[in-house]
Amino acid sequence: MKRKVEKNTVTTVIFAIVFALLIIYSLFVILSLLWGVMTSLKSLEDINGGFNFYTEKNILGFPDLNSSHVWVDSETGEEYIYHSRREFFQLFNYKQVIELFSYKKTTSFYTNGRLDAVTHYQKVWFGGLNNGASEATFIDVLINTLLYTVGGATIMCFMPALTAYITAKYDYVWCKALHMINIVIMCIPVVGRYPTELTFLRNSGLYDSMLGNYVQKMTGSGTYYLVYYAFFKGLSNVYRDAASIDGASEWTITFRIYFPLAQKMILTVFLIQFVNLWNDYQTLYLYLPSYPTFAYMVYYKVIEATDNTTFQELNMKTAACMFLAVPILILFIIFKDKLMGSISLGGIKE
Amino acid sequence: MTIGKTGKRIIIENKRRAIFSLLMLAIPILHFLVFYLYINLSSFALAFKKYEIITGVGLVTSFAKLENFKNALGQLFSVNGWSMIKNSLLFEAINLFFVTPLTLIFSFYIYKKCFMNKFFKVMLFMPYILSEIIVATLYRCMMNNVIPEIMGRWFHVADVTKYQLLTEESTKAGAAIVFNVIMWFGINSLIYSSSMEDVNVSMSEAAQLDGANVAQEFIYVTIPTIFPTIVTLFTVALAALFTDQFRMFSLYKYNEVGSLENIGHFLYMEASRVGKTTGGGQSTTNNTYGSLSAMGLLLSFVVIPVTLVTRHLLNKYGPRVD
Repeated sequence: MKRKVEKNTVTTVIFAIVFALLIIYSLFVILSLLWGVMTSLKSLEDINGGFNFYTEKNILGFPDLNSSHVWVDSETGEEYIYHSRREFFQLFNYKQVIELFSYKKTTSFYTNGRLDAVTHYQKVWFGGLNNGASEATFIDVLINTLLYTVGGATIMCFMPALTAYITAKYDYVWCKALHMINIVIMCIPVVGRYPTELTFLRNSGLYDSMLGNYVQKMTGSGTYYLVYYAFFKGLSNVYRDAASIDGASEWTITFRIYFPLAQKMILTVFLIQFVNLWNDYQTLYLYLPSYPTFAYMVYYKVIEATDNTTFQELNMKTAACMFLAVPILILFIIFKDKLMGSISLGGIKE
Repeated sequence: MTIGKTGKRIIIENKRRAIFSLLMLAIPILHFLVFYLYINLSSFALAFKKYEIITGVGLVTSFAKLENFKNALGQLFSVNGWSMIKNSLLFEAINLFFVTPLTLIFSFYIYKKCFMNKFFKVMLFMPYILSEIIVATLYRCMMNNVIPEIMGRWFHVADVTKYQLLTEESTKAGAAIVFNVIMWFGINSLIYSSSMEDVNVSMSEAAQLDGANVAQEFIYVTIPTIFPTIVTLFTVALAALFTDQFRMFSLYKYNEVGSLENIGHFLYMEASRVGKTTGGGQSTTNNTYGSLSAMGLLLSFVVIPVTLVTRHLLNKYGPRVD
């Protein structure tokens, strides 16, 4: 009896400590996000404490919604607004983000066999010049984002699935060899392949191009390959045999019988890759500098660009972040169980 | 006659299957040959090449003998080089020996479906679902703006600039480590808690009947069962020792990293600048493709055996279910 009480005490104490740690962690995450939302709804004057003659900043408080916090210069009649009503009720900072998401960047690099440097400018999709004269606007960034996320996620969920299906269901030497290779390359860490990759991409014309980026993503290996492989290996060959007797071609067996069986898994991988690509900005920085996406724009405006001061202000920084976060949070709310419940070492669980 | 036809048909079908499988694998095989084999083999070749940008002539290559390796070794063993190696080792050690055990404990809490486990699961997942740049920007604002404001307003500190934790030299390492810890918890705790669901319930129940408390159940039942997962995540993290930037790219501008510079960030930033030119036709970095490749090779020679040996040792001497 005494032993049982001791055991329960130990258990309670351990779980209480873990609970406390998790609460601290969660509070930090929640408070950071709430602070971000709150700050994104403030005006710069409000943050800087303009109504208090700049003696007390409003970094921690709620947005000032008091409409009387306005000062009118009696001499000039000019009105100085110190509250955040416009920012709060009209989402003014968010509108500003959309308006100011313009991009201008020149990338010059040398390739083999050329006397002079190759120069790339920001991609302008409609109604502008692609020689660097026109800035990429919000619409261009939106198109880049869709191409990068939807296109990339489609390739990244389909290619490993196809490779896994063939290596799992076909007994040829090349299938076995590719399966072995896919496992081995995951175990060997390689440092510093960027220079070679960049040299190759620049010399082959694939650098800084959406097509080149798609080609880079067409790998059949990776963690999801293993997940798909285990799935297809576990599927019975009876479907194949039955379809084969009925005269179905290999194409039909693959894409009309086995792939539909894996569609839930493929969709989950698509979602995970979509989220990853939506959030990615480092790949673009290195390989696609002329095709900014929303995530890259946030990085560019908030960290990299030295020529803009607007995005150095707290309200605009946080508005840009929240602008990027909202779509993914909506996606998360809709597909929470699919995204979270399915995470395992292989990447997903059925 | 019929048997002969069937045999012929089988051969034709086999041929079709073989051709189909080859066609379907053509892209993955080609991708492997180009983006893995060729790229990695080229790294060797590139490490012996000298690249020079000569105005009016373009990019000129020549045989560099061991010059790139000398250059790379010179950089690695310089004061800055040591500092970068030290930072990579420090951050990785924190990840492996502090964050991993703590993550396992959090995962166990979620797996045991303790109080508010679903809420914590979402919270742990949150930094993963949001872009790193969002979390990093909010964190930077909290460290550099909110904390100084709190110190000034609530604790009446006169000079609040020294509480800009990510900027102040004496605190920036700690603040950057905390950020990495927050980010590391996320996805790994979900992976661990998910793999803990594979633990045989009867084993846990037997341990509890034998009087094991929760700590003993965790150490003697759960850990051995999920040990393969731990080994995999451990070795994956170790393998990334010299490629992981430890999120410096998201936390700082390139020239603000300063004393926190690590190998992963250095290689990434140098690679992004090498071969590019400024408006005046000058290269944007002193490094060349060759010297960076040589550095990558030298570091790979260290990381590959360390990772493989660690994996082998963990598998050999780690706890087992039986």
